[in-house]
Amino acid sequence: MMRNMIVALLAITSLLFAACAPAATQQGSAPAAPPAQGKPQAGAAATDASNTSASTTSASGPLAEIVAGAAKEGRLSAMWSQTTLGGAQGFQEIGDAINKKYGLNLTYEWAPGPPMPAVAEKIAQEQAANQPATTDVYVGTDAQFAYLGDRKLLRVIDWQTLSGGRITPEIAEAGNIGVKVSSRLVGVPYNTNLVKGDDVPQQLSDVLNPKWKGKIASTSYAAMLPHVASPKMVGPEKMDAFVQQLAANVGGLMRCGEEQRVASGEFAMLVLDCGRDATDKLQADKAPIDHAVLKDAALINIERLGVPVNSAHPNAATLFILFLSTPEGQDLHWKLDYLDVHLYPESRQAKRIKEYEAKGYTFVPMTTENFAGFDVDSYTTKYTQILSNAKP
Amino acid sequence: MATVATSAGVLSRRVQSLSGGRVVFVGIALIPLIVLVALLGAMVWTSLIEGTPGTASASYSLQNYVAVYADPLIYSALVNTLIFALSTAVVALGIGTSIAWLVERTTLPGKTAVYTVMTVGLVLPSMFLAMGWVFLLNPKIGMLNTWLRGLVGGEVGPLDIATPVGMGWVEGLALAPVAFIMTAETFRAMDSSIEEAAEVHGLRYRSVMRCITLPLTRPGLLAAFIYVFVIGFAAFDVPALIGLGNRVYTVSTYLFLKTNPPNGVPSYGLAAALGSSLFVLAILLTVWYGSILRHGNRYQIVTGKGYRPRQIDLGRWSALALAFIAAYALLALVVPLLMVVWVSLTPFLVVPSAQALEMVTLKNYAQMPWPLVARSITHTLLLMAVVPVAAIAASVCITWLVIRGRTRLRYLLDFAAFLPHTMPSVVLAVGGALLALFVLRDALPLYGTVWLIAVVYTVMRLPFATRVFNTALLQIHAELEEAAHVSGLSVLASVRHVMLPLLLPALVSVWLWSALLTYRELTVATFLSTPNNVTLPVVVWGFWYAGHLGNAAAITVILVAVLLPLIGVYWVCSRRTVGSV
Repeated sequence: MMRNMIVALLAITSLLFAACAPAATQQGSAPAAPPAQGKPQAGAAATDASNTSASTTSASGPLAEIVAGAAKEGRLSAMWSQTTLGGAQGFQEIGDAINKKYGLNLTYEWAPGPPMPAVAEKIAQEQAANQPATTDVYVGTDAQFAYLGDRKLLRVIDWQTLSGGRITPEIAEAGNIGVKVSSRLVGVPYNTNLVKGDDVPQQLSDVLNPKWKGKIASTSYAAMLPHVASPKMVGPEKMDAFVQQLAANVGGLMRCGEEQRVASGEFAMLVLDCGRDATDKLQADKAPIDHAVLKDAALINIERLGVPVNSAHPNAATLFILFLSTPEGQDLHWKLDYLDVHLYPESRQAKRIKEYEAKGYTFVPMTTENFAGFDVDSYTTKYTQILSNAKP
Repeated sequence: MATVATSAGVLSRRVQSLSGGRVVFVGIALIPLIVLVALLGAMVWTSLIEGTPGTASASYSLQNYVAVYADPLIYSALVNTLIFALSTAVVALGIGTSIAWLVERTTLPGKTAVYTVMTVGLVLPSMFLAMGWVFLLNPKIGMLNTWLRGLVGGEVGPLDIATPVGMGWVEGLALAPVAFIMTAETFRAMDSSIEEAAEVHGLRYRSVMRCITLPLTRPGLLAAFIYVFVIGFAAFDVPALIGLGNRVYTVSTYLFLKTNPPNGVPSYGLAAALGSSLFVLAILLTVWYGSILRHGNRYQIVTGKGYRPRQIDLGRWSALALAFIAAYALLALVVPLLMVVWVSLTPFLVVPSAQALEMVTLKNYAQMPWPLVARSITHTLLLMAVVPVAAIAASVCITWLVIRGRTRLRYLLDFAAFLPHTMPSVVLAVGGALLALFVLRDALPLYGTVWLIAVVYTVMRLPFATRVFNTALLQIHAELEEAAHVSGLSVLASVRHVMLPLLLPALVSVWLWSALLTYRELTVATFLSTPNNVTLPVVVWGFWYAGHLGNAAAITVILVAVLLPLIGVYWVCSRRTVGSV
């Protein structure tokens, strides 16, 4: 009996070895191509028939080269949070749409990843060791793009040309190291059973009402608060005082994406969130939650996509980003995440913003230009410490 | 020069004194220890680096040590961690040891079912156990607190799970199976003739327990205590889920904050500096454990003469014993399992109630990302198959050298085998990544593969396996192997025909529990994860961390449904095969 168990174990082990061998070989392959200047290195002009379907692609010119290169690469690997771009299901859905649109047969592999700064750090280490990047596409905000851009770890790509002009210089990240993919409206998600009528916050000071003491949450990383501290918005002095008072009122810390804890009634509200899309998803499930944009903290949190210089599949990565910039891609993004980029003419987020603006709100997009000269990092550290050390 | 020559001479004589069999043992034992030394080297290296290791921005200084001890948060985190780890060990040992004694030394009915219950405890991710207790004892939404509020009034309930002791209670429940398996081995191998002799001489049962049973099991209990205490010290999931949001920090959540900052570069150097400091704890604990080993012959009760475990008839106390085990199962398994099922069936987090039943949906199952789940299951199964075998091979050799060896180097060997247990997982992971990236590179392209995770996991499993084997081998008298030598068997043959058959129950236990601990392991896999080697706990954690609790719960329910009958079958088969496993 014992011998049979051991034999069975060995057999299973052998099968698993066989199953995992391709993955190991894949990872151990030669390092990715060197950083491209101008556009990614497309694959050979001849398309690998195994990775394209019978239908022909509608791409032409430079885009056709990217499509051919992607076909040759055969796959796209990515790592980011489940809350981003529809997570595992969304990545596959976007991949299916790309395969269909460009007549490809790419394999899409995704894994849940650590927070954006940790992935950026991982890419930096991998590049230093001349290894392929863990993720072919990097998703991050202004801070991470500045970090990676300063170290020349993202490919400079002529997005305007490749997209036929749809990606404008405003939509492309400065220096063409990435493309904006999501515009998220920052505010306060609140439990509609616990916060009603006049209690719904309209501005920052409303959440300091003593009646909310111990009942509101903030994020463990002081999300968005440092940006509000910039001179373009509330200003550092006022914001410092606000965060000190907020810390005294906060009953607990959570992460963006955990808005379910507001819906469950554990907390009455979250100050501030990373975007109302999380609330939108819960509302679609009929959760008792709504979202308030604060007049003095009306931020647009912008997420970008870029291609690491050591991406193992740079053409497939470029194609992925280009697809998400198309009307079809943006539509799919909205379907998956209730998000798109407010700068595109058909944007649904832009309509929302206009509705708020009609009520007197003024939004500040989180672009590099808007926060140039303001040390967001030091305020993030400062506010994180205040919130983390405060006693409930 | 003379010193070098003398050392070389000593080394040469030592090597010559090793028989062929011993050389094999030393060789196998050294492989994981060399990896460990490399990981430690990487840790120390990282602790001295400012900036991103391996890049031009890196520079050497002691800044990480200064930074970690200048941070006031670390001191409150250390105090919380000590209270938390102590609570964890007391709860886990209290429950695990009691059940182990009942199963191994008494006529308790339904032992296979008890083994299955204790094994399932490890299959359930602790995060769900924590979540179950949050739903019970959260001051605002906890069901028990809501009920108590109705009785005594007030805006928040009187009980709070978000304290170091509260978290220790939850972690202790989760780790009771580990304490159970470590101490079951001790009770199983006991020769009851000593207890019988004491009873014949008029000692009452309570006195027998105090004077005979407990002292005899002291090494096993201490080993389990140290092991569980250190797990508690490094535990992440329960403190993260319950403590982090409530600003009750432990060392692990402190490290998490530093290695996952909201901005800038993750402070791996700071984590490594703290990890390097924990060497002191490792040395203290290992010296303590080593002092017990030095008097190991006192505990050798399995001899060639009359080794016959006897079981105590529980009689009418059986019902009480079963009630105790059922209560544990209810608190540690049924509550969290029901919680998992509930969360998997609801579209968002909602406290269970009759009204909430209207929301029940199969959406989380319908939207399961099967390709990702299948890929992660393949990687996890591979690790569960490979890691226990590698860890057992190395651990048996280490244990044999430590327990049967004469040289003082054996204490160093045992210290090295215990060391990974005291190092923060994140530091081992950072070390593994740096080694693969900057040392092995293309010569041995492990980076990004499941094999890198397997190597680190094997090193991490050494403490558990060697503790169990140490305890088991301590109780097997050397006279049995000596008799085999006298009969003409070589070292390898005596190990194969005498030691291994006697260790078989321990081998089977270690294999299963190492496999389950491998299945649960999260921190290292999270850090080393890529789309090519993603494991199941990483997927569950990834969903959980992103707030997709329903998806995480649905995956867990499916796994438990698959693993539960398999575990039951396993225990039935193994008990038939190797007797009282």
